[in-house]
Amino acid sequence: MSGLEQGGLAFAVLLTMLAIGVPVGFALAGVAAAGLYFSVGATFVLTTFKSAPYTLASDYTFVVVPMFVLMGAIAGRAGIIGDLYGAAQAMLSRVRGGLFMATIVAQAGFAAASGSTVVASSVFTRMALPEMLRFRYDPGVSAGCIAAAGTLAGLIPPSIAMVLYALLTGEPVGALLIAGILPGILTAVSYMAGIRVFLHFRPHWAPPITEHVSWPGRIRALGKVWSVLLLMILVIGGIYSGLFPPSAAGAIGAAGALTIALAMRRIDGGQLWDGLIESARITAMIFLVIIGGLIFSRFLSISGFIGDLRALVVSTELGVAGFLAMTVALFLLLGMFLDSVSLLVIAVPFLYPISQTLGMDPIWFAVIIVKLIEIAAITPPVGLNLYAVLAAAERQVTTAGLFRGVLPFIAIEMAVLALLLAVPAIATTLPRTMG
Amino acid sequence: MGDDDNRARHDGASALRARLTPGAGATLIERAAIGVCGVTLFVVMLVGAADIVSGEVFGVFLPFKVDMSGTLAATAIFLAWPLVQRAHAHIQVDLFLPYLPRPLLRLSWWASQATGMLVFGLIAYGAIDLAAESVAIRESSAATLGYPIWPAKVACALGAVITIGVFLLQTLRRLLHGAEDA
Repeated sequence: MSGLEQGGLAFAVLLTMLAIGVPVGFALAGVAAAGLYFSVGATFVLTTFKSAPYTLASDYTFVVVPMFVLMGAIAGRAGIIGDLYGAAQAMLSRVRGGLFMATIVAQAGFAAASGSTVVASSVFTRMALPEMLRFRYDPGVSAGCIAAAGTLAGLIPPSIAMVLYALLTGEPVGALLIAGILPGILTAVSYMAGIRVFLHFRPHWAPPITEHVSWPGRIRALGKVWSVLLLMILVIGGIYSGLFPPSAAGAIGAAGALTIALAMRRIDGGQLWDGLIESARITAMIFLVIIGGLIFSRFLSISGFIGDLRALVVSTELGVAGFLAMTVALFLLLGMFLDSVSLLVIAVPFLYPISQTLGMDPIWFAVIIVKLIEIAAITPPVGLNLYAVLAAAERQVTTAGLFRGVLPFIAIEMAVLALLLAVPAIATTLPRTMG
Repeated sequence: MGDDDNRARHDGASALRARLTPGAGATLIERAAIGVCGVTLFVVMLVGAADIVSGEVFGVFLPFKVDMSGTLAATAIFLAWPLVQRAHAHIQVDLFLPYLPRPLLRLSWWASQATGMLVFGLIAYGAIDLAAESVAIRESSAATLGYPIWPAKVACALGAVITIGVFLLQTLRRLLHGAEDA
């Protein structure tokens, strides 16, 4: 069997296993073990499973994953999200569609304290959706706005998706994290501008709000966001200035969030313990998929699949534009059925080497990939964020309503993606100026 | 806003606690593993933060930070796997599950258990081998402090073995009672 045939067979078995509900980590590692057994032998399988899991889990560079998760868990329990949303709502109370804008601004702010899109989506649903419904906002578009703004956590550091990309490709974590800042801000601004345009044509999505917050009230609300600003400066500033490496930024961020929460008397021992166990559980879930993905990519490499695919792409003279078009199509298609982490782990090992063969900037390519998986997170019918919102909404919004309501945001996302594809400097400028 | 926030946090915390509590079926060793998990992550956070603070303020970075954080993070991950398996909380594609006929759902459960046992069997085999080698030489960190690394590797092996135990218990319950929680 040629490399392409072996890889094709492995993907067919993998997708079948995923379709019948076998956990992604098990399916990846299981198919890889079988593939390596038939192509290299049992000894190689045992050696791989002996070294890969521990080596990966104990790599200091990736200690940042549990620490970023812990930082978000503590920040969430400390009520930092409530402060952010309150301030954004007060500041934007006079603007048409102000609650949409407040949600986007607050989610962008929280993205700087948490790398998890799902956590952001579910917590904001409990907080922002009842407010939007109280003011007779369109339920579907409101829920769609929360789900879409949740994806900002994927780009704005600390982004777990960027760390996972670094883990899969060996690219520098710090540069990747910083690369997400401008595209993240661009996305947030585009959401707000896009909503203004949509409201012009669909004013019933957000009726005018008659309750206004006074200026002293606004300033008081704004005064409460110091905790997020401090965390943002601490983590992003530390990485950007080179004061500490990203691995340390995770621990500093988590310790900073805990110190703030303790100073504000908003966390007790039980909540901290829950946060620690939740972080361990989420990290264990993510690392099983990553371990499976790395062993699977080792199989793809050893079987000759990656080499054959690379040669095929070069021989067909697809070029950068053709390859990017293929990548976008692949992610939009797979994104309908796979969650973000699985999508990243399955696709990056064979797309990244091809992108390097074609001479693409690795940082730019990383931002494109992360943007694509964030679009996938809000693409029906599977989009992970959509289900996080639906679960937290407790039947205040229907599935059909949410699927319809998120469409305007997918359209905005596609426009931002087109901009990122056309202007790579949006992604590559900041990493080049790092300390 | 404040009340909503507090309620959301409280509800979230209660739901999470219910999900994270190992439950009556969990063995004492699983509960101990979860306890060690939480403590190790807390230590990783403290060591990482203390390193930067002492380095920037006093100019003295902790020499054992890299090794200690890495080994403790690995310990936390390996020891958290039994909890994840107990709750069947692994990342999976559940889009098609509502549409699968009952026999295929049964096949899905058994395929997941079999593949999981194969994968964790291989991981446990490797982890036990690593731990045995580490214990044999009383492996310690190459950093200045030279603290022992072998307990962390033993804990990782233990985590993988407990996960296999959880798989076996779930399978046994399914065989005997037709359901895991019977």
